[in-house]
Amino acid sequence: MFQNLGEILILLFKTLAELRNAPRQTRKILDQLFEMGNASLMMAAILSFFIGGIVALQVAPQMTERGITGVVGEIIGLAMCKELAPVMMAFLIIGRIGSAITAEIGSMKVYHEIDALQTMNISPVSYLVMPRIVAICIALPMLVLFSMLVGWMGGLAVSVLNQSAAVTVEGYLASLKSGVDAQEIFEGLFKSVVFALAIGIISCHQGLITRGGPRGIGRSVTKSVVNSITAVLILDYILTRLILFF
Amino acid sequence: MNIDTTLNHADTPSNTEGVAISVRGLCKSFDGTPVLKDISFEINPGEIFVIMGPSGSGKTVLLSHLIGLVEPDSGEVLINGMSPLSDSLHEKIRMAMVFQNSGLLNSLSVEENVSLYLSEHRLKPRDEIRQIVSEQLSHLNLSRADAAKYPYELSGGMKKRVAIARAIVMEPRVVLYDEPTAELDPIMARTVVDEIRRARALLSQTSVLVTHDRELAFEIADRIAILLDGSLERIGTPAEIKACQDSTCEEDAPLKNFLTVNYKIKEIKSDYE
Repeated sequence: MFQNLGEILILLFKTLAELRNAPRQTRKILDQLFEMGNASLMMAAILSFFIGGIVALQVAPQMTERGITGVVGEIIGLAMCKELAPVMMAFLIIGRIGSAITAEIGSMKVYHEIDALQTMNISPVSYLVMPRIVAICIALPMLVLFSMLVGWMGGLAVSVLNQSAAVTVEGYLASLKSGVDAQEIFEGLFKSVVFALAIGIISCHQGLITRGGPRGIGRSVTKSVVNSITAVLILDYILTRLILFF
Repeated sequence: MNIDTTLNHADTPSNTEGVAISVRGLCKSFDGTPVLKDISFEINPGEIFVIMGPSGSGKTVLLSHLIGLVEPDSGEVLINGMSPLSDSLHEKIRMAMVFQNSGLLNSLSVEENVSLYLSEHRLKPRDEIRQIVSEQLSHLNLSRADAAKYPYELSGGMKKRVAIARAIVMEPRVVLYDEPTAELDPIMARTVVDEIRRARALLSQTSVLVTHDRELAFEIADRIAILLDGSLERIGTPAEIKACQDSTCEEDAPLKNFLTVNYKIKEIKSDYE
């Protein structure tokens, strides 16, 4: 485990060092970005709308009972910004993109494509890892921002349409506007960049250490998903602590 | 057994600008199983050096050491005096390898695969790269239509030819070929042999071939090394290796056995075909 952690950190530093070559790899980064967006956008919209809706379903009647419907928008807004959007979108990216990165790089490793790159003096970190990391670090915050907006809309729809909650459109939007400011949104985006870095590095590293044919690729994908989810939750706790501290 | 690992300059092309390879006391084990046992030999600049041996004798692992893909347990490989594990070597000396399974990038087309080295290192303008790739593919009997295909659309033999084209466009000073004629019909095998020779004549390449094909080895090699069970059994010119086949000396028995069995299998296969 500690050996893996060390290797992941080394890969992270190597990737950061390769960022100077990012302008040369613009086409690859854009290709990756397009693939990530294409694979995730629809799913992100559905997931976010229902997450916002579920929170509204739980919160709005309770607040109505207590006569404080004016905080429903604020609660949903903050929940989406600070926790739900970054974490749920990170899970979505792990399932759709992280696993695909591990499978692709793992397959390239098993079938000697990475060896071939090395014999051509092409660094796998520069050619394979860096473009994916840059793309995922751009894609996840964008998805999180999108998820926040859709989640707020889901919360609004369910709050207003729910018979047991006395929430109006104007009341919900006013509450959202007063409770959520740019700092809250920035906190969520900051978390998402850290999650993206972790997911990208873990997925690429697991691909690069794949051994043993198709079964090895399957094992690597499973490990990559489990390790990424664990890392996201641990990092979420640490980041929340840090944000609360400052 | 005494193995002559010295160079026979009379049999090899002289090229003072070529690249010499030196292997000294190379040992490698995987999961406690020794795969290479104290291998030492030298390859002359510009030489075509063929490594033969039965399956599992460590030929591909040896080739991987020569290009720095595998780190030895002990011993060393030196390319013009530098370790292939160092980045500086690959910046100074271009080396290429044709993998047994071709090692083509499945996400790239044939043209992109062949031009990968030149385009990634930005060595030539895009139009010139396209021209070079097109010429190289035609040398190996691959059409313009083939250039647009992806590796998963190609037969094993076509993949092999694309891999050879990819290695040759790099204009490397050292090329390692792992079973270059496997999966090829006799006509295509002949084309590949001619291409290896052409590249050597043009670029004074040092070429190392791993093959099971006895005829190919005897035809193309300046010297042949026989690897049996991870140990270097013999190095010699094709004539010297052929002579072992008729030897009555007990010391030559394993080598004789390998060459005879290999030859008989080939005879049976050709009779069957």
